[in-house]
Amino acid sequence: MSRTLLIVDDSKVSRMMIRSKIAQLQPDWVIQEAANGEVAVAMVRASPPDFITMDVNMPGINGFEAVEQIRAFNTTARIAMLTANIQEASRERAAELKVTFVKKPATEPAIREAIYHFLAAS
Amino acid sequence: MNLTDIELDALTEVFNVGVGQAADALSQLAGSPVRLNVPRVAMISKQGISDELTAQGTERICAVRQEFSGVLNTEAVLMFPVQQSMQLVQLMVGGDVPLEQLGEMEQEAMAEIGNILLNSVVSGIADVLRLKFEGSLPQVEMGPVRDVLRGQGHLDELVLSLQIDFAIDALEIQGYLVFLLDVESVASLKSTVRAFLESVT
Repeated sequence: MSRTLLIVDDSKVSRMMIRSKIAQLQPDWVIQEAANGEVAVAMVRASPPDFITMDVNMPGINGFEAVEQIRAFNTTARIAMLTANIQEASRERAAELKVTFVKKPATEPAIREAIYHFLAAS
Repeated sequence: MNLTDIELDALTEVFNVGVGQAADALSQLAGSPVRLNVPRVAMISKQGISDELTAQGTERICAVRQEFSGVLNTEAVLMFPVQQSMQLVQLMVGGDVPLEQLGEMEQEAMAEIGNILLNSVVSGIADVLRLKFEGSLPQVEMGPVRDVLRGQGHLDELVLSLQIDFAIDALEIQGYLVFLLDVESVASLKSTVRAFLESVT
């Protein structure tokens, strides 16, 4: 079954890295991209994806704030925070928001971890 | 020698990974979360960086400087406003140590903080780009921002700067992390970043 994934990251390179790994591992997934939190919230509102990878440190609202806003109207999308901000405080915030936490860089093991979370839960 | 937008983006992202590791280390040292701002990568003069920091109200700083050499050479500087560095040192050694003794320990403690943080950033970058760096011993300096940044060079010298501001809100401490690359190193960096981009996309 084809699934939809929204990649949220202010870095184009990071989005390219995630996209290319997903395309290898899950070739039938439909991938969309958002370059900041505000756009991501609007995209989820317009057309909810099955899965979201969310960066944390972004200009404008950060990834956690974006997840909070998304959760106010969408509880079904499975979300993985994909971030270099690996502090305990970030991990705790992810746990509070009930989203999974995957450490950047977006290498194949990291992307596999996110996919595992998405599919195990769905 | 200029980097293209996509090369700058890749570099910022790699820097971000390194900074994330350093912030994790600092939050463990301080026992408090570290808030990271969005990193900036730009060709700028040392004077320009100094002006920016001074405009934020940071006149005198306590800095730890370390040089990393390899395929490319970078000068890494961790900076705190002078009055805040002492607070950080107190955090590391515990609150029971009297202020006089703390002063003696300040240099050593700052060198250690710098060593941990700067090496975390560099290790993060080295791992992602598959590079190897040799680090010099950390040196602690205190003084006006521009004197510290000038180092052995000139203030009008153009450098590639990778810069991030961070804060430990609970302790009202803010700090700056700057990596400076000279123009010769930018050429090596460019080919490294291109190879990285080819490998990941």
